[in-house]
Amino acid sequence: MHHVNHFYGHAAILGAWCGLTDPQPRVEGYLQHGWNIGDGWELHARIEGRDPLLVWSDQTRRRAWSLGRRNVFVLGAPWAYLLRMAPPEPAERHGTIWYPFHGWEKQEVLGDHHRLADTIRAVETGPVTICLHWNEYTAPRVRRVYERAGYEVICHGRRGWGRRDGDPDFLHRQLAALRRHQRVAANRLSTAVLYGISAGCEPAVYGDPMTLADEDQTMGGAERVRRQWAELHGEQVHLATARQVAHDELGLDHLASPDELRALLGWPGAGEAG
Amino acid sequence: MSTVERGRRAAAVTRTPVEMPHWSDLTGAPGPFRGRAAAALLALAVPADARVLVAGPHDPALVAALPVPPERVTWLLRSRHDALAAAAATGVEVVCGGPEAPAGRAYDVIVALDGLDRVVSAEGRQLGWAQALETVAGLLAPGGTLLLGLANPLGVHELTALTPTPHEGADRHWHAPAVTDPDRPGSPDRLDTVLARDGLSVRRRWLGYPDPVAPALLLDPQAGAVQAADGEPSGAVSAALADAWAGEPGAPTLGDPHALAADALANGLGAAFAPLWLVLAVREPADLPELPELVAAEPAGPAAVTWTLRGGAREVVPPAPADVAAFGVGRDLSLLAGPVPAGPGFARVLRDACRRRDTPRVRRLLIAYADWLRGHADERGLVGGAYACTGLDGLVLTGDGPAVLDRSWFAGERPYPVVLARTLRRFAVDLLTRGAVHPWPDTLDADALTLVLTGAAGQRPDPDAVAQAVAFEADLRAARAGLDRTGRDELARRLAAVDAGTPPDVAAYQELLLAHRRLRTELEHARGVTARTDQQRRAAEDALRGARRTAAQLRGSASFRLGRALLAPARWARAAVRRLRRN
Repeated sequence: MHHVNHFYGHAAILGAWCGLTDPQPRVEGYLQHGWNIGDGWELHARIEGRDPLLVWSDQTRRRAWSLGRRNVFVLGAPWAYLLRMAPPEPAERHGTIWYPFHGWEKQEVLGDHHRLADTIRAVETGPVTICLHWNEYTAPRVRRVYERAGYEVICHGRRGWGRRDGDPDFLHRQLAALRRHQRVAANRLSTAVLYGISAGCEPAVYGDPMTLADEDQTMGGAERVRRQWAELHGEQVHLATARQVAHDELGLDHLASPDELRALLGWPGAGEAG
Repeated sequence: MSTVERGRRAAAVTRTPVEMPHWSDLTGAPGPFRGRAAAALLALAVPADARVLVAGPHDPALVAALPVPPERVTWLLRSRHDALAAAAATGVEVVCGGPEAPAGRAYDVIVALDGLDRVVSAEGRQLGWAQALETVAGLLAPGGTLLLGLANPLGVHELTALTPTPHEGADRHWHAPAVTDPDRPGSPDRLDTVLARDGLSVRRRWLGYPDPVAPALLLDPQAGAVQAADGEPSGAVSAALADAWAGEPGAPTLGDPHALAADALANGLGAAFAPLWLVLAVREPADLPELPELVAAEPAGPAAVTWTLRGGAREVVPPAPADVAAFGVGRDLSLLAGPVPAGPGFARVLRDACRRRDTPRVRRLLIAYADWLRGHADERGLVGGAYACTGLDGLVLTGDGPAVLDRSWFAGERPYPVVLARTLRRFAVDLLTRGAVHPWPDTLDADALTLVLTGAAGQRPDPDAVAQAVAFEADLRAARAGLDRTGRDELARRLAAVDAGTPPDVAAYQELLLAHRRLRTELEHARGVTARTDQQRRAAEDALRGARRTAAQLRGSASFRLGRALLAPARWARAAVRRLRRN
């Protein structure tokens, strides 16, 4: 119904959880598509009617309610469903996967990637894989900085827009990549860091947090993230604490069973035509 | 100065100068103090050899059922009309006048369940509440018992009344409103103090619900057996409290009094907001029989009983009705007596988890329930007996899981998914119609929410089972209420038609307002969906127009015409082959 539901193959993951084969199943509601410090969506996102807002965590639900949103249901992150469905993880983990803060189609990141590459070299002792957002991955200006610094540079794919050009395997690739690494790091606490923690990586958040063009500070911006989730910042982070935070923020306790989810989203039952 | 005359059954009616010739308390609203619960309590509290004074308007059936011979009973009434009718109906001696009338006598038991507001006549000296008590208490012999009722001016029945009683301006309000009388105790503690002034000590106290003159439930909130481990009311109390309001629909109210009363009880404020305080006070020294902590009169129906709880064990108050069966549902009352499982009500615990939007806990509770129910299915997957007809509100949560409160009802075997869908739909309807807070999207209707709950219970949602569950629910409710086939079918239609605008079974302004709000929300959603669908349709039409334009342009191009000319022989050949095949 809403094209944002198909970002990163989110709807497809929930569909797979429920036994559906449709790569873009219709979701009666809005799926939160990334971790954020607002109501789960871009600020002031227009949401029509009373379609349920399907958020990742109870904290986000409470915040969304306080921001005037209603009909908010805690579904847990689609990523959490993927984790449950994914095969057992491989034993070998090496080095760090590093996620420089990224922009998106409508907002560019402003910052010095050379300096960031130097910071990473000073901190990380093992091999480093830099994972760039599609925007930066396809921009030679940014990509070359890290390639010239000697790092492997990868991209999990495109999240898509308007149901087109998205990689439905985006999160599958991200999970596989995270599970190959010992550490996950970024210059801002972000979705990828939380995914990394839940995938078994030790997290770190350090380096110049950079700035986003026209970044809205209504919800407190990067400064608030540093303050509220201070325990996740640093070159070394207390692992048990980080795991608890990721557990809560990704709503791992809130996953609905396939039967419940099918009923909730109006999807056909197991064995019925989809 | 008084004169004596004989009623039709030769019972004496003593006349006094202050009798009211034009008045009646036994007929018209609000009627005399009445009910099976009070009768059951009197049967246990009044010794068989006692001399009894009944003060004020009580249902003649209540007086006739006292466990003492009629000649040992004196009844004080202010209305001459009532006095004659009461004497004729019960054969007891009736004194018609104010509380001073029986002066000089002594009684072992004084029954004043209606309180003291209606013992004073409009004629003659106007005793205040405290003076009336002093006068009545003066008639109590040493070792005697006073059973006194006092309507709570802040009871939920008053708080939710559309018109508060003191402002009704009814004919019976010739005296100052009770709530403004500084001598009238406004709390159970003050009542104790006032009674102590007259040399009486309160030994037991019950709260009466839902109506101060017609309590269906009498409950001693201090008794350990009526509390769950955490001080909350036990499941038996929650169920009995819900039953107290489940009878005939009452007058329209501001809000649902049951919800208020339940919240008050849960927070230790039961006494503060109960409609009725009923105390048993004695003139020491006095020996008392063991009295129940709870007396409940079930809502009217062919199998309705009154039962008591004493020491956590249920006893059926005789006479019990004959066993009944209708619509495949019956009751074996021999299974009602005995210990009642202790613990909080399952539905209450589940509603609380819903209110907190604690979906993990809701799922754990639902899975525990569904597994428990499945454990009572036979090898064919059928559930029968008490398990088939007990809803979530008829279960308590014990340390060993759910337990059935009332095992006396039984129903024919039904498939497990139908029984499960029945209990979950009933819970869903309760959540929706009461406007209760729950975690799921409010765009789900009762059937859709039932399917979600089934999934959350770890079972496969089945729309067919939900449809059958509605029919089963109608059978159960019709059997309890004693409906005929037409009534049962009408009920089934009503149950199936529950939607966003359906209020709960109480004509309460707040609940109607919530139902109205839900309808507006639904309309807002429908409009949003329509607007979006319209927008998507326009976008699709624009895209189609664009595609047609492109196709038309392509058709007009030289390359298209050339390609078409080159392929013409092949098209002719294919058409010829098709013609040949058809022939």
